Amino acid sequence: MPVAIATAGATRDDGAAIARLRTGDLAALGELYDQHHAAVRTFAVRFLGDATAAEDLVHDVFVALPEAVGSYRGDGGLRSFLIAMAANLSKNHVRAAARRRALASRAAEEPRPSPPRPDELHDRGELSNRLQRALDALSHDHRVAFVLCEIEERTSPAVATMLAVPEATVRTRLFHAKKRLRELLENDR
Amino acid sequence: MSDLLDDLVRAAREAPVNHDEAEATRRRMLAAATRETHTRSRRRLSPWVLPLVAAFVATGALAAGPSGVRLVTQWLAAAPAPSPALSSRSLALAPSSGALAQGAPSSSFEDVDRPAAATPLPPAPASAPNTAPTSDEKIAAATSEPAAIAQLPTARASVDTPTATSPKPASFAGRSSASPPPSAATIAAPAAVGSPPAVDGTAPAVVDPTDELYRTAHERHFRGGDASAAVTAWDRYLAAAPRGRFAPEARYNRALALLRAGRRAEGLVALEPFANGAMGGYRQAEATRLLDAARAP
Repeated sequence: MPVAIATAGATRDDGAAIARLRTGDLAALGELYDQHHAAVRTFAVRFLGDATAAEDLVHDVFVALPEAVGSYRGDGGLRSFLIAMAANLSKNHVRAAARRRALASRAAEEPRPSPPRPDELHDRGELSNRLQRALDALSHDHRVAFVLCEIEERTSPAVATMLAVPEATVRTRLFHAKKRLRELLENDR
Repeated sequence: MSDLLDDLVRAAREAPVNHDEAEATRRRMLAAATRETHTRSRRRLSPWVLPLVAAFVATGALAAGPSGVRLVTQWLAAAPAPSPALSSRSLALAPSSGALAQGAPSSSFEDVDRPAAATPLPPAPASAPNTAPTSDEKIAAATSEPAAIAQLPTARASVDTPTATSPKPASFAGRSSASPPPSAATIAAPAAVGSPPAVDGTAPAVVDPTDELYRTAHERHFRGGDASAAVTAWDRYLAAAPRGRFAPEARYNRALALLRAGRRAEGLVALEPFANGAMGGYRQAEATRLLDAARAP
């Protein structure tokens, strides 16, 4: 039976499922997975740039949820809470993904003219790889801020709530992330 | 934001995300979550279980008199260690899904139970070691360990005797680990299937036709060098003898072959029943080690 992919913002029955999960009802965990796995996986893929690492991260987030749900206070919605968990759990997955990316890059490398041709620049896969390589050079906090604010298009206040940091901290991290990314992309030209 | 960075961000937003692994991840996740829950419950109850069981057994023995004490003593010597009552609860919690890969002999391993690594809580950042090997590297190391290599089956006459000390998990589908120990009639029943061919050259009384399938699979697994061929061979054996006396070992080796063949998700799902003790403790430590390696970053 294919797993359902809930539409964005679907939070129906989250409250009831969370209450059941807190009593140890793991069937509720399955329901919450069905509702939110797609959003968590989308963040994980955007953050890690590696499907295998992203799948492992999705697994880890939901395995941790029964214990973590005790600290869920309802502010920001469960989906944001899950994505915050993913951001916190992602550190070692980032290293694994970056390692795989480096290996794949070395294996596929072939002589190419520099700078990249315009048609290469507009190849979506190549663009995604370039961004992921640049993100690999950021600190974890800067990477989280950039992915949540720019790629996931969340507001600074929302990200601040998710990460339990001041809004000014989110903006500072975002500023430094963009600055560093510009430098890296400029050097990559 | 520069144009190039704009382009990169737009590409990242628009990149499609593949959800094909969602179902496999869901099964794996629920199995792991169930194990975690029971591990926590077991930690809370373990100080009480053994004394209660001992008190029950002693009371029953004393009530039955000297012969009762003797019978209980014999039963304790013959039966496996009593499992916590929670294992039967795990059957109710685990999802009823086919845990094995498509095409594999079906047997639903629904009771899952294993200790799991501690997980951090949001919003505090998770701390993690900086130099740990990747999960893939750990799996590769673990599946190549000599401890993972099983021995060819030899004649197991002890299984046919009524006083077998550790009954093999020959029938495990839906079986609760809290069930009473097999009676002499039950233990003697497999004798009708026949003894496995002995490797020391002695002629067996009855030859099980599925033993040849097992030998073929064993050969491909340990000497063939082709993990996919090994998986196919294990599948053939298990299709012919899903509850045969070598089925647990075949299932374990099949799980290893799946991992070696790169079918990671299927291999991990196949290992879970071993890790949670559904196979009577058979390969539990090895399976737990492999699953821990897979889950570790």
